[in-house]
Amino acid sequence: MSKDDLSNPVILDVLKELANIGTGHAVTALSSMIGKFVGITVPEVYLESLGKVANILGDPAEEVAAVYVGYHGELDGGAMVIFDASSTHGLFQALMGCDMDLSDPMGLSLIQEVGNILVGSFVSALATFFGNTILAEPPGVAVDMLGAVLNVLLAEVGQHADRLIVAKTTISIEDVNIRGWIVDIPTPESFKRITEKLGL
Amino acid sequence: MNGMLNVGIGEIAVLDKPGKIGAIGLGSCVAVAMYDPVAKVGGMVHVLLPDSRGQKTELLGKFANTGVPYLLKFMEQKGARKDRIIVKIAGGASLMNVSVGNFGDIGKRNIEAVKEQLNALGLRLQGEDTGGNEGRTFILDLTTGIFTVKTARSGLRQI
Repeated sequence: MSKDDLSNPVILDVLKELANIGTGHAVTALSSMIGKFVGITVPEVYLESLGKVANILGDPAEEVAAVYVGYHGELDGGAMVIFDASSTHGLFQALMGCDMDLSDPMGLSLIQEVGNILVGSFVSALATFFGNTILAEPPGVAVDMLGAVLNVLLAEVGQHADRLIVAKTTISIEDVNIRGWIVDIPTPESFKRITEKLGL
Repeated sequence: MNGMLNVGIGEIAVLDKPGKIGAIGLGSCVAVAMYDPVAKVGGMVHVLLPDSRGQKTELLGKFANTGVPYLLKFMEQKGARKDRIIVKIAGGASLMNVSVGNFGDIGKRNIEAVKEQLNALGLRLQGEDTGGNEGRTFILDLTTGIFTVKTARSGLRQI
């Protein structure tokens, strides 16, 4: 794939629209689970070198809680929900009515559940859009440095590309002070296939 | 991190003056650090995947089989000598216990691939902090020749 293919603004617009559909479904699912309004920003899309993807989200050394789902089919790639670790206390209060810790297995599994709901419904929205031809892999969860948790996603999508298209949506939850993002990175080669199919 | 030359994923950097060189937030990635204590030349590569399988890449450090040989080459271009070079590696953790592509445990595969490359180049590995399930930041200080690993939970250690 030449650089120009990815730099085409239409490609980035398609990704933005897909991320919009995916996150819309994702936050609706979370909202009905926790009984609170969950807000999203318009997705931001980036074309970025592998080595700089972490910087789109913040400091690579910052501690985060992340849930990852790889997906395959009509579109290949990976999606991740990332919460700033220090802000997860608000989420615990809202969900459980008490504070918890990420080093506590209960706390971690709660984050995993919230992440699963978000990423799972994100991917299933993509599947519906493409006619149920996308399979999600079992999710993974980790609390660690931002750069480190992103490795698995970048290894998945970066095998055949040096530059990646990245969609980032910021999520907010009513009455809860939390910093969170949904990140979607399809493999550039599968994304190109799709835009060609769409006649773009 | 202030005053540190940061080596991002897929990048290779070599420094021939006093300073620090490091890779922040290594998960399944492996960073290879090389240091020639006589020439005071140090370098690092931040490897994402084990094998390029012949495909072209602009990021020479992305794969173990391109990154490690090129790091040695760039070190030698800056005056380092192979028989003096100290090599240490860090990373290759399995944070999420998920399978990546055809690689399975990608961290483990990266560690193996890096060691194969070092072997093939005749470089002896003198220290490592690899595997496990924790992310790492790996720093080489050229002034002192000290290799340091930092983690989010288990703190700081020299290797």
